[in-house]
Amino acid sequence: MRARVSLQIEASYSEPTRSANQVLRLTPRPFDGLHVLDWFVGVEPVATLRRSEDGFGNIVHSCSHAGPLEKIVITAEGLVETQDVAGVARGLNEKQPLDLFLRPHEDAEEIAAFAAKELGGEKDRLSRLHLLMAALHEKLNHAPSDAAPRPVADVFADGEGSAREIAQVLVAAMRAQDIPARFVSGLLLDGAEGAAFHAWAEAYIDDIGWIGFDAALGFCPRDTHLRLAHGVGFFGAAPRRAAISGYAEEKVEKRLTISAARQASWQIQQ
Amino acid sequence: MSQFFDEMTNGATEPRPLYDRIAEWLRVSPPALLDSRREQAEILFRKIGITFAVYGDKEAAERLIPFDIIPRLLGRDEWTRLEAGLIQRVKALNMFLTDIYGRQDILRAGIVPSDLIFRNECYRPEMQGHSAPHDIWTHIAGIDIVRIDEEDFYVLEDNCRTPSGVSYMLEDREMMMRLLPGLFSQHAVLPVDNYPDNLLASLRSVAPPHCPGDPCIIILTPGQFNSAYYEHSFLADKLGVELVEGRDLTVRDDVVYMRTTEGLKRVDVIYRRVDDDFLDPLVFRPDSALGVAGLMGAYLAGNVTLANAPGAGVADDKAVYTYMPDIIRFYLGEEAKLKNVRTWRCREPDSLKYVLEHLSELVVKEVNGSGGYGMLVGPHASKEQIETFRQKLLSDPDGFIAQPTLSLSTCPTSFPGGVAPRHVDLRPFVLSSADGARIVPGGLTRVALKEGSLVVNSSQGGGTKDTWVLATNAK
Repeated sequence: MRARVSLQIEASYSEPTRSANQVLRLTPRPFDGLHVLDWFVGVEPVATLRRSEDGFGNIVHSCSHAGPLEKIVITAEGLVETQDVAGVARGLNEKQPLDLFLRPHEDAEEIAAFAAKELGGEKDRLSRLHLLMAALHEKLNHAPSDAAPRPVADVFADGEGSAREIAQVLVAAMRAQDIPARFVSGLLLDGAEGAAFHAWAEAYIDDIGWIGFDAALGFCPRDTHLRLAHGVGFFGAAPRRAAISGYAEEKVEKRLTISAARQASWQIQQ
Repeated sequence: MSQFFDEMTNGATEPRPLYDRIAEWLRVSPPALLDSRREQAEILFRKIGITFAVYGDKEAAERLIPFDIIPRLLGRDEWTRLEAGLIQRVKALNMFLTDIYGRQDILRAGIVPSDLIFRNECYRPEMQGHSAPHDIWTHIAGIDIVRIDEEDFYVLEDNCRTPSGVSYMLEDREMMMRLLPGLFSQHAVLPVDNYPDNLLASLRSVAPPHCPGDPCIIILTPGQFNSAYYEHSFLADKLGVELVEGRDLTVRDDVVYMRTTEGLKRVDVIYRRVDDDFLDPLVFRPDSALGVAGLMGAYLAGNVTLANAPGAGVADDKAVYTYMPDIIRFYLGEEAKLKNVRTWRCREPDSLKYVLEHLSELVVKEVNGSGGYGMLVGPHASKEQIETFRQKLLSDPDGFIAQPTLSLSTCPTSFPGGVAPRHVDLRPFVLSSADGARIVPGGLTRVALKEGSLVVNSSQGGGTKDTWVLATNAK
């Protein structure tokens, strides 16, 4: 689908802060399932936004503000064309070896036991991944939120979590099965309410590559998933990380608007 | 008794020539003199306030590390051999880190297994593709050395992150010169007091290229609750640089500034004693209050040098240690001058089998542990401890290595009412800079004060001794 995306993040502070530093992963990187026709990231008050690539190949903007500062508004907007590629993320700039994505997840014993039980004797890796996604979709209730994720063991015990929490549990389950897995953050283009950001997991299969699995929704990413960044865990792929100096409380509001979603030309031709 | 190499007597009745004067001094000094010197030392240390916090011990939150007044001696010939080995090793460690975060030749050559590197928490993907200024990653390295006979030095452990202990090396020397000036002047002891000058010169040499003339160097400490806070303030004082905490720094547009009474001042080189995990809440642990937001951005932009470089910890992993002889051969085309202790990698099934069968004879260490925490000393462990470790090993074999119980050398050590041999190790400090390596002749000698104990870590009841490298040869 072709969509005009506009995301606004407004961070306001309970009292003026001395300074603020931010790292933003709000720029989608094109791959086989995504054309980025136009993209813009801006910040208000105006500051130098330095664009770089992080250790995973994500596009990162960083900026710093000197205070006193009451509010920062971040805008990320552009025109993208997504294609349903059955969740396969091919054509990205892969900078890290698979071993990195096999790092055992902390406190994941319960999840590992659950994964082993659900999978029984299934041998085929792709089938195992689909089974895991379905089992966790069944077990964990999706409660949209943009809050920082809790530890996976807590989420698993609680039986409910945000998309990013469920994605972390799925990553832990995949790694427990010795399958390279990583965390992906992104946006949903179908106008779902509740949270601006979405998240899912990607797992690696020989001969195919990285494939996305979304246990919050229960299916592999489609053309409604706009991929922003990936990492070993949430914090390496977080859309925004910020720190302020001073004791102010930060309140963050986000607005995501998707418009002019017309059929992409290549779909019409098919 | 004879199973250990005693550095004074080597099992004979006569001392080794190196120790002639020490032996004579011990023979003629009345026990009361040694006792009073030892008490004076403790009073002085307490006055200076050299303390050390032991984690997990509420009773003794701040403790004095016991100091032994009998010096440990090395001959010039022994030191020369040791020094050459240390320089070789640290050079290889820096080349290894440059390679791991760069072309990864050593992994492609199959010398070191890649899962060992990438599954290690200390490998920082954020650093991939970046080079450290002047290709120096471990500006300050502490290499733990043990002796088991008159000839060979063995490396027990490499410390590439933020090794501590150098303040004890310097303070112990001052203490000896003060308490036993007579004994000191009878020996031609090579000086260690130029360490702060060397450290400053090393840090200067790695300043970013933009930096005009005199770079602004600071020491970043986690604060007064850190176990080595005394050392941080001691070094800042000796180097004549500012000691700062994370909250004293701010990053604007990839440049690090220090808040001073005269406004912001640009910082060029940071000797950081804060662990990687806590360096920058925007890149590493988000809950860190000890670091500086944006510091990694400034570092990667080349506007500030961090010593030691983030990600250097992947080289001092105990599992990587076992590959050090191969690593040295690969980069330098030389054989390692310092030996490695025989080590079983529990990740290899055959080794694991051997280790499980010989748990009561071996020392088992966590690959990522430090400070003597989380290790099993087989011969001194109870049956329950061995069983607990067996379970740990079985559930996570990759997380452990095992070594034989080493017959660490002993040195005479003074106690109330007498002198007895105790096991020692040595931690020399190697400084790497743009213009080569610097080592002062000496290091921190740690001594296990409990009879028969082989654990010298200060967190586990070890003490320190002054290390005298003499201008004369041992042989």
